[in-house]
Amino acid sequence: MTATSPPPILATEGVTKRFGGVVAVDGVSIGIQAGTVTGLIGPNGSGKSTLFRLVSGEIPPDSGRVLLRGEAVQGRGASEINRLGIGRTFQLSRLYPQMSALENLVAVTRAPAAVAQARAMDVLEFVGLTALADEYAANLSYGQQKLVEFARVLVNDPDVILLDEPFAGVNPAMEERIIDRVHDLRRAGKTFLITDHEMRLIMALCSRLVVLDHGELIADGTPQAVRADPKVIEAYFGS
Amino acid sequence: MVAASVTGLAARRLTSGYTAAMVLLGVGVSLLPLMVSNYILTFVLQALMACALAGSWNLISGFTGYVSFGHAAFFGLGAYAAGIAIAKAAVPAPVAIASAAIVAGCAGLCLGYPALRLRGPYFAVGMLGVAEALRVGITVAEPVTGGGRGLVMPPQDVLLPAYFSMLALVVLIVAITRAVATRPVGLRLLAIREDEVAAEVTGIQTTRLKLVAFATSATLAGVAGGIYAWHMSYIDPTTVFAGSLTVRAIAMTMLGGQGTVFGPVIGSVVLSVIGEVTWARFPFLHNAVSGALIVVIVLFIPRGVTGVLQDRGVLPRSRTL
Ligand SMILES: Nc1ncnc2c1ncn2[C@@H]1O[C@H](COP(=O)(O)OP(=O)(O)OP(=O)(O)O)[C@@H](O)[C@H]1O
Ligand SMILES: [Mg+2]
Repeated sequence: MTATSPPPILATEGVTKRFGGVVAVDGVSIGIQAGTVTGLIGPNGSGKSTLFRLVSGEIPPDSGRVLLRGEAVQGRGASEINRLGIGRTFQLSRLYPQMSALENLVAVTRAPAAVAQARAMDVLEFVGLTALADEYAANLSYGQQKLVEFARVLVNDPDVILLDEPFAGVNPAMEERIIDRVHDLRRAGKTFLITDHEMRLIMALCSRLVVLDHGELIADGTPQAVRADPKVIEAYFGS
Repeated sequence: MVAASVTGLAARRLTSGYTAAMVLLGVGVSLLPLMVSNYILTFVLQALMACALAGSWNLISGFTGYVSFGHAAFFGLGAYAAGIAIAKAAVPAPVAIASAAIVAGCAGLCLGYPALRLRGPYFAVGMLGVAEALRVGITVAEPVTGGGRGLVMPPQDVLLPAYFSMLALVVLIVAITRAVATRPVGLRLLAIREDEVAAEVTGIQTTRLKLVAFATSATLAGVAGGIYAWHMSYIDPTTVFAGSLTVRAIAMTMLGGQGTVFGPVIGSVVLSVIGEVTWARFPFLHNAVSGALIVVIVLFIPRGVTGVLQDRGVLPRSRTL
């Protein structure tokens, strides 16, 4: 990173998380610039989802710091961190099953009650889900659930958006829709951190990739540089 | 899974019809004293009390899924707050009932703060322990409470005012529930029940919401206890802290539909009437039947009668029901 780049909107500093004997995230330091799309990749079990849980406040790190706009937020609690402007989807969608798609958004929106419904409808329209507004989340297909969850994150207009495998189990038409929306939002100044195993999509979407292996950051750079990095090749194809 | 769903005009008609039926029920109950004997009035007053307990339990447990086995704690505290105010200070009934509300509400805040950190069965059993501890505490504090022999107030005939007070409480609880259920805050409470971690991560302030719902629920149960003490002129710890009060409130709410507006009303009407004509004279049996019923409902109709009717397309899936 050059001396002229502005301070990152989101950063982790030596963040570590252990589960029993497993070090799921091991001293990871990443800085993310506002208005960029960064890919977080790595083999299964390399710690991507755990890092998301740490950044979103779902679990506290054992050590290290999470900085949002330069301010330490680790240990603040998930609800407060969300309110500070970090939105996140889950690897396996966690919608409220006994609520309609629309209600899933109304439940979390911080727009005044009188306009909550209208705000939620606007966001559903933005992701092309108007037709499913009244469908119960439990009755939606897997891909539809992912999209509703994406919409639910957007309803409070977070500055930083973490998407955990947004393309898993999603058909090509919907993939394209998600990619288009990510580009729209990035142009509007939003910051994305996205994990996925679908390299084709990650390459198309991200200007930068960070790579985890066994919880450690092993590479950080442009997609081209990372793809050619021997350590990355080793992590993916080595034994 | 969903056979049919009622939408559009038909849904709106059904919703208004259903709501109108509930309003009529309320009007009928308020006119009842003109028509029936004191025996029947006393029975309906008991049903109203059960409904108030069920409705107040629904506000915390039905919506957020934090199933409390100790709801009677707040009924008992309210009963003793009002009872002591009447017996020792000879205050008028409204003051006694207000003190019931305050004591139960404050207890709800103080107990909810630690208890709501527990999840699932730990919370349920924790609250059971709280109710039991309070029962013992009241029994031991004999100089103030009269201990195990109970607390005697000057006898007075207040059947009618107590009846209308309890009815007003039920109407208030339904009104609060409706206001909550039809606003985003109701969905936030339900979100806690559906997936509390997701609720947190999506920015819902679960701790604060749970505490407010719990304290409101406790306050309303306390008022029911206050009215009860005023009406009976005699209370004892075993009766007002009885686990059976909680179990019945749970059974009624679950039967009608947890997290719905009128579910507790439907459940308490059905179970009070059935109870009166069948097993009421056998208190032991009464509890066993309530307990068994909870199991059956949880297994076969977890969303209660309201949920069944909605899934069958008889009622629309409206949050106002
Ligand atoms: N709650 C937990 N308890 C114990 N171990 C855990 C827990 N969560 C994650 N782990 C372990 O931490 C490591 C990292 O898991 P994580 O889910 O973060 O990986 P991931 O990179 O998201 O993998 P995937 O690509 O399969 O989603 C794994 O070894 C996993 O078994
Ligand atoms: Mg993962």
